[in-house]
Amino acid sequence: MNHNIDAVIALSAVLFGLGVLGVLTRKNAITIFMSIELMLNSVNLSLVAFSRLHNDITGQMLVIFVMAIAAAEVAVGLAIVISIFRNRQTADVTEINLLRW
Amino acid sequence: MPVDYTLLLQDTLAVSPVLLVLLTGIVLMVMAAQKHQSAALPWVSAAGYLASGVLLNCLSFTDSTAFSGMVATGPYFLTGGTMILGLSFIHSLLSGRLLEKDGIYFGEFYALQAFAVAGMLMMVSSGNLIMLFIGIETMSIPFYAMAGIKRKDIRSNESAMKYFLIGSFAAGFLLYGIALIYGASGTTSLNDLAVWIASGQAGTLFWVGIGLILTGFFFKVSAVPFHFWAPDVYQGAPTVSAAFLATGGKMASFITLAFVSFRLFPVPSDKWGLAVALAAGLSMIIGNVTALAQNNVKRILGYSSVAHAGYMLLAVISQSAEGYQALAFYVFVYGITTFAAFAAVGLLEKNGEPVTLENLKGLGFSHRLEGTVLTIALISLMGLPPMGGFIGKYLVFLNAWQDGQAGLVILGVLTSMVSVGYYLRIILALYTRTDATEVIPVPAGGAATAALVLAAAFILITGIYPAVLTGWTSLL
Repeated sequence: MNHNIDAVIALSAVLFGLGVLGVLTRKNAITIFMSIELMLNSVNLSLVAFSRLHNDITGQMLVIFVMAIAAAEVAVGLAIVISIFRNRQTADVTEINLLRW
Repeated sequence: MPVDYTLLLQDTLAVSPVLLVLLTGIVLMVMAAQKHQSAALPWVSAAGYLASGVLLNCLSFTDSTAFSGMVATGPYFLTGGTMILGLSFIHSLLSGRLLEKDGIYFGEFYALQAFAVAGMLMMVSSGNLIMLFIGIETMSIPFYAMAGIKRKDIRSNESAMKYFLIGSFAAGFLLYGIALIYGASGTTSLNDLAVWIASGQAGTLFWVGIGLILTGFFFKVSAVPFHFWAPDVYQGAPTVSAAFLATGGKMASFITLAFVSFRLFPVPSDKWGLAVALAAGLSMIIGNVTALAQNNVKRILGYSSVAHAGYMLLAVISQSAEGYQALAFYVFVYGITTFAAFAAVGLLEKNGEPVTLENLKGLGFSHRLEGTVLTIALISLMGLPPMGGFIGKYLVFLNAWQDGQAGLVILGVLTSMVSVGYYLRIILALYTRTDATEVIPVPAGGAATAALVLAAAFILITGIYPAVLTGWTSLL
């Protein structure tokens, strides 16, 4: 039983790492955004696994909240990307660089 | 299972200030949908914050919990909530004028702000890591929209996108930290966690989780090495939004950090202290030194916020009651001071032009009130008497000194001296006579003037007679 949970937690750690890597290396705002979603969902996976490990409902409760919050974030985030794209015709973060010293 | 209505009523009463702000937000949103009522919006939101603040101070708060430990209604809720609501109140007095000046005719701004304030109140009253995460996100999501509210302006767009991407990236770390702590301990309640830590079972998994949570917090308070977004966001966002993001967000995040530290580590933890000390030292150095090279006033204030995050973290290292009290004093004064600085800059700026030092030249003569308030705020940020910023720095340094952080205190004093350099440049620019044609001052209007005068009076009173605040922060 515990052995399986270790595997799930390792998988979630790998997915989280991939998400971080994606955020740090990708150039398109939408792709970065998808990587952030990957990070959040990898955490959900580990929360469900830990919830099973401790035989406790709290982790699964948090997962529901995380999904709701991620949905709200998507709504605001996509609106921001769209407004940038309307003004600049690009969503490439390396080209969006007016603010720097 | 029968519902215990008495308990439900008690719990609802305990969180009623939050509910009142949420209700204000909903009312504002409905009103904003009917454009013609927009002149009333700032007044409705000011009334909402004032009522909520009064309600918060009427409830008798002993250290207790509501909703099965999800909400902690202790002195932290009282202190943190009062400063957040006070700031929001004077901000809504000012925002009407600044929004009009910037050509932002979205009444939704006020609703977004109200929801962000509700999130902040949830943060400072969180008794559980789940509530902490929900509170931080409820605050942050409206913040992203507020930074980008000037839809046609590419700088506002860019600041919103940077803030959004980096903010949600940080939220991922925070959440992973919560998951690891839950995995290690089997609980997310701060009270249960404290018991579990005291029992000595905390292993590597737990400390990695704590590290990730601290990373999330360092992002939110813009501490080095997670500070790079702050200057960009404060520069690009409309000044009316920056005045709130830079102050309210910081107040809520620091009070929450103090509360988490207070709950989890009644016995000071070396690991927690070391991580905070590192971030504090780096923030003081990098924030102050980089600010010297800036030319845009809002950007200088952005780096100044990084530097001040360092001073405030200094108060968390000792993990003592005196430290948290010093932090509460500092963060309250810092919030109002930075608000005053942004407010004055917002009233001085010409629409569409960046607020560089050259553009500020001579404006202190034509705009006497704004010039005076900005000067008072900057002197307070330098940490010189007779301003509140001086007392705040004194309390924080005193606490760190007594805790044996002599090196960091000396570093703090030295970097404060460096900071005089860039704050003084702004004041000098304000009072440099130019040959340019005389600027005809535009009167700021009653409500905005009241906001400026209130903020300046607060800075002076806390500096001359700090007992008004210390008596109240000593509750912590």
